[in-house]
Amino acid sequence: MGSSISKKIKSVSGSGTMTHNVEGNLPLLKGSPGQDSDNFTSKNKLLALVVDDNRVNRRILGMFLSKLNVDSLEAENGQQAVDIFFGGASFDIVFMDREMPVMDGLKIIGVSANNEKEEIAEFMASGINEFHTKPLGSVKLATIIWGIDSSSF
Amino acid sequence: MATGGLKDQLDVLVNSMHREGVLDEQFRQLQMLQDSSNPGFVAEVIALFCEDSERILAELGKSLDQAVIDFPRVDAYVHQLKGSSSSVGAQHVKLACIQFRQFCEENDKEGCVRALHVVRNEYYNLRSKFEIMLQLEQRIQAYEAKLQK
Repeated sequence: MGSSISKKIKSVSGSGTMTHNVEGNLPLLKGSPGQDSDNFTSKNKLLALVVDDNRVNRRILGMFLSKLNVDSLEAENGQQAVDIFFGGASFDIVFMDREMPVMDGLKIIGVSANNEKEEIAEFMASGINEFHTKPLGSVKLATIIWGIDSSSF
Repeated sequence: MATGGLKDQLDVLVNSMHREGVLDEQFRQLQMLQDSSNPGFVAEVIALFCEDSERILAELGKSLDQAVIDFPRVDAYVHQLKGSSSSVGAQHVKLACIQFRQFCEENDKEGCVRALHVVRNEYYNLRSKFEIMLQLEQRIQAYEAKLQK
């Protein structure tokens, strides 16, 4: 996952502070939505996925995004978000609540064949949860997914 | 009454809610999202918020009435209410929910019962003001529609 993509695929909304969900250097979304929003309107229409079990939060974020000329689809939980992804939809950005019923917000794992310190730092700064070098075998994957101690294999 | 007078009344009400801390800056952000293409946005959000809040408050009442309290479940409900109150700018409700979650973390039943009482009071105070606000908005919109004819 490139760092430019992982910068886009952020962010974890905490408990519903909707105006502060976007972090990182996304040029289209600096500043506060709703204020001088014309200056921040997306020139190329983006598609966002809004994942939150709270319909008030989804409605409000959807409206903020609409004002910025960003279309959005909604999901009530992580499972629905996964289903939408597997349905073939392609998103420019995902806003995902961390605590939800059925399935919580997704963990974002960065992988790369490079293990240069500066690159790893840049990757982590983009907001991923963890970084691992390739190749990923079943043992490492089990550790990542379930925290299983690899020495048990 | 001319729309100017109604608009003044609405401004006075909303400003007083901000001054008292019942609403915070987030509500102003919502108002700015409303325009001619979405004239009912604020009313819609308020309606959703009130429906969800009352459902949650009812569930909280039931949950705290049990012999054995499921504190994680109670906390989950309060978390939801905190989230939506934060999103609409309902500051007092949000702050009451933060306190409520503290009692949930401490597994303090009495604290939770007291906190629910506070949250309910704050919510119903807010709801009554929202009702007045929406009535004023409806009257303003009705007058303006009439003037355009």
